[in-house]
Order: sequence, then structure tokens, then C-alpha cells
Amino acid sequence: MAEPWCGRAWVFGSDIDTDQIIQTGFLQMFLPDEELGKHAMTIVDPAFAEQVRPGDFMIVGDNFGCGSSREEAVVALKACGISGVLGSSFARIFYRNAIHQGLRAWEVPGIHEEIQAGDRLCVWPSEGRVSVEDGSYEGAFTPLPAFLEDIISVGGLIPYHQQRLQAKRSG
Amino acid sequence: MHTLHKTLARAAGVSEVEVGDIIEVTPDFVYFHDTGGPKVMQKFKEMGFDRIVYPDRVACVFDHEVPPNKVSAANQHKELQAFCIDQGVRYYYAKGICHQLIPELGLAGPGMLVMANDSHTTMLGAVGAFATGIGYTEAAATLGTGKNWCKVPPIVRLEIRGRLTDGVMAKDVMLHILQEKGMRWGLYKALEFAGPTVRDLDMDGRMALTNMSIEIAGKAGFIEPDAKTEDFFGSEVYERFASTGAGEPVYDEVAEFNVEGLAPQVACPHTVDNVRPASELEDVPIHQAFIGSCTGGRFEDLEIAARIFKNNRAHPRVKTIVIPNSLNQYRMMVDSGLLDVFLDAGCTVTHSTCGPCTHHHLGLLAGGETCIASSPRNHKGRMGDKDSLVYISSAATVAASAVTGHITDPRPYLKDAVRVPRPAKRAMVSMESA
Ligand code: SF4
Repeated sequence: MAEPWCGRAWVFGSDIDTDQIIQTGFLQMFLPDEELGKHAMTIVDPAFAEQVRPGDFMIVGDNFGCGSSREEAVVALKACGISGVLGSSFARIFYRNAIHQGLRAWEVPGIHEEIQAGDRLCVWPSEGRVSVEDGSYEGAFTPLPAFLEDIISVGGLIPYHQQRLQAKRSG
Repeated sequence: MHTLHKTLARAAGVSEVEVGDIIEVTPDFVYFHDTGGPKVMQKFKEMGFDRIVYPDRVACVFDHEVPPNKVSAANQHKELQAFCIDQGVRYYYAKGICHQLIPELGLAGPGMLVMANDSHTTMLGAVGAFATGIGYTEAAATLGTGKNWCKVPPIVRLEIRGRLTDGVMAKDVMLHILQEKGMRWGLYKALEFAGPTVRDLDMDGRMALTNMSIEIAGKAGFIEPDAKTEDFFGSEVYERFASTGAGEPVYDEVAEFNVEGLAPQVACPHTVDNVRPASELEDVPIHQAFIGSCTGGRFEDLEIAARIFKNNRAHPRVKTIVIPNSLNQYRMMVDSGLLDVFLDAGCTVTHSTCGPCTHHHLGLLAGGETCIASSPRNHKGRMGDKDSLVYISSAATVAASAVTGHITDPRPYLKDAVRVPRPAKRAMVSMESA
């Protein structure tokens, strides 16, 4: 059994659109990714961007990432260093953008009603399993197929193809 | 398997797919436009790709900001055009809105898997394709590899019954569905529009339904091809698609809607499911009326608007903008005499572009202004200043409102009006890119 990834949970509600994840105003400033991360989710919870630590998880309700299809919403969350987002459901284009930018998004129906903010979670990505460390909750999700895992594990489509094409050229 | 699942299975090179499977697919056609295109091109280069693998299955449609209204757009167009020429990809400049133009040119049709960098790609389901919107980064990778992926969606049959009275359009049906189900209902699902009401609709109305599938969060919209689909393409082109074959009528969910006696509907600011009958909104004054867009700028929309404008001028204080959504629709407007009616009524008629639908190009709203539009979206700031308001309705309701200067039920204006027949199809000449 592979080692789980463990971290704290940040819990959010449903229908959080990409404008709440990262406001339009910050996009027009052409900030580097790390700076974008400092403004992530500030409308919903100003404490998040200040206190989130690498390895934490986000727990979200239904339809997370709805609204405009801006890929920067994913970039901002990834820049916070979170290990992934566990959500009841995701807006389709956000879910796709997440995979393509190398952010893990796992669909676990109803999870936002079970987890408390600050709970310590453990996630087994390849087994599709999540639990609260004290055993008070167990959830399951479908692990990504290998060809998408390959993309996400190197950080998304851009590095994936860069590395692949470079290897091809030099090989 | 349902037709859509068959399409996905074929594109994945497997004999069967099941709901929830994540499959690798080779799309049959990919397109992008002038606002997403520059990012697609940039990511393509950043990833290190050299050539587009299947250039003959790709198109770039310049439709959002054409001709350019600012120097930055002009420069981007120039670069994107050069990219298309270099890659041997067909492009179309100000010939129509991508979702209208691609099926009109016979580039996509029944049984095809279409992925395009725009959310209203769902519209192509009206001609029997599995069509869905994708992001610009993945669009770039698809150009470079020929492949993308897809999660097999459950299929919902929307069984729609009831006769629509004159002045009540497919758009009203869609707004009614949105009001009943809300904006999240279609998440991850493919929506098949079916039933007697849908069979009765012309291709123009059908396209309005599948176009707005995305407004209800659908991954795809779909209508099973029939004689009207064949008529749309002409039998010669239709034959080319026919080999793929229809699937079975199997569904994961069925939802029924009765639209008998439905009144004209309006989506109020700032969401498309905030829907009320037009007759309850007569006290809302408007400053701009817009007939156009991929949702509501086809012959059917222009014809019903012209019937209302025939004996009624647009209100002098209302900026009334009419935009046929492709060159083909533009020609039909001219050939059938509708252009004269619009000009006599005081409307501004422009070339085919997205225009006021999104705040990119022309017809922007000032703070405090209100627009009624036949386009698909009304979120805050969609058509200009963040303090402007957008109401969404059928082209008929837009035209009647343009006449009175406030939101108006169009039905009384259509009582004695004579319908203008659809003119004969003309060959799509001067279309191929250089
Ligand atoms: S008309 Fe509007 S909705 Fe349609 S493609 Fe253009 S901007 Fe998008």
C-alpha cells in the first residue's frame, strides 16, 4: 500500500465560481503564479491564502469552479501548495483545467458535509481513498487513469509535452 | 449504446464505453476563434510542438473582434493568421460565428466528435455531433497530438411536448427549462432534446436549444438527426456523415416538459435561470436591443423580428442592433427583403460577428443602461459596464421591446403579420481561406 498524503482540511461551500477563486482584477495585473496564490479565495475566506500550508487539502461542495473558464483559477490554487481539492462535484471545465495544469481534483459526492475545517485528512491517490485521521470519515473516488496521472504528476500538459518532445529530440 | 456513446467509442477506438469511463479520444474536428486562438497558439509553441498533426481537421474562425477594433487585436489577428497559413489550417475571417459557420460549411456533422475552444460548442449537437467546449491549453495539446480525453457522460432525454404559439420560440422553451431546473442541473451530463416539440422545430430553433445546453451546465446537447438534418446539409454532404449510424434510444434519465401554452420568457439580471414571463416585466425600460449571436441570430430570428418591425419603427431612444450570425444568414436576410425592413425601422445592421454578446468589440453598454438581447448570457458586465443590465429573450421579444422602449410580449405584434418564406439556399462561395 502506497504512503498516503496527509494534511489539514479547509472547507468551503457550493457554487464557488472562478471569480471567487481569483478575482478578475488580479488577472489584469499579470502577476507571477506565486503572487496569484496569495490572492486565492480571498473573497470567500481571507484567512485561507495567509494560513494555508503546503500539503493542505481543500474540501468543496457542488459545482466548484463554475463561471468563466479562466485557467488562472487553477494556477492560483496550485500556487498555494495544496495537495489537492476534494469536492462533491466540479464545474466541468474547471475539472479539466485542473488536470491540465497539474492540480489534483477528486470527486467525492457529499464530502463537504462530512469534513470539519481543520480535520487532518489522509488521501491515497492511486487507491481512490480518503479518510479523516481519527477514523471518523472514510470516502472513495475513482483514481485517474494512467495516461492522465502521467500528465498531472509532472505538473500538467505544458511540462508533460515539453519533456516528452525534448526526450524525443535528444533520444 | 446511445448515438453519443457510439460516437465516443468510435473516437476512442473501442467497441463499447460506459458512463464514467475516462477515455482517450481522437476528435474528428477541432476549432478555435480569434480571442482564444492566440492563447492556443502560444501554448502550442510553449509545449514545443512543431506541426499540427491533422491540419485538415482544424479550423480557426475569426468572429469575436472582426474587423479589429483595437491595434492589439489587429496584431493578434495577424499573428494567428500567419500561424494558420504556416500550419495549413483553414481559417475564416468575418464570415460568421464559429458554431454557425462550421456546420454550415459541412465541416462537422452527425456522428462526429467535435472539440472546440469555446463553451457554446454544444450547439453542434443540433446536427447530431458530440460537441463540447475545451480549454486553450488542452486545445493546444490536441493540435499537437491529435488526441484528448473525455469522461463518458450519462445521457438525459428531455422529452418536450406541447405546441408553441406564434411568437413563442425555442429560446423561450430553453428559458423555461432553465427556470424549472436551474443552472447546475446538466452538470457532466449530455442532454438530448427530443419529443414532438423538438421534432417540429426547424434547424434554427434546434440550434438555439443545443447552444444553450451549456447554460444549464450540460457537457453536450444533442438532437437525433432526421430529415431536417439532411435538408440542412443537403443530401450529398449528409451522405458523407451517414456511415457512422445511429445508436439506440437508451437513457440514464428522462425529464419531461410540457410547453403547451408557454408565454414568451425573459431571463432577468444576472443569471439565465432568473426567468419571468415578458408580460410581467413591462415596466422595465430598455436602452439597447440586440438581435444576433450564435444563439439568436439565424433566419428564423431575423424573420420574426422583421415581421414585428414591418409596421413598427424601433423606438428612437433604443439602440437597435441586428446581426445575422453568418454570411449565409446575412444573404438570406438580403434575398428575402428583411434587410429593407430593418433599415426602414431604424435598426443598425452589421456584418456577422459576435458583436455586443460579449464586451469585446461593438455595442457596449454604459453604466446604468439596460439591454434586451437574443444572445445566451446575462451575467454582470457581460455586455459592457459592470453596472449595466442584460435581459435575455427570444428575438421576437427583443424586437417588440425595441418598438415600445420597454420589455414587451411580442404576441400582439404578430397577429396579422405575414410570414416571409425562407429563401432558397445559395452556394457558399468565397468561403475557403487563402
Ligand atoms: S455570439 Fe456570444 S456566445 Fe456565441 S460565440 Fe460569440 S461571444 Fe460566444
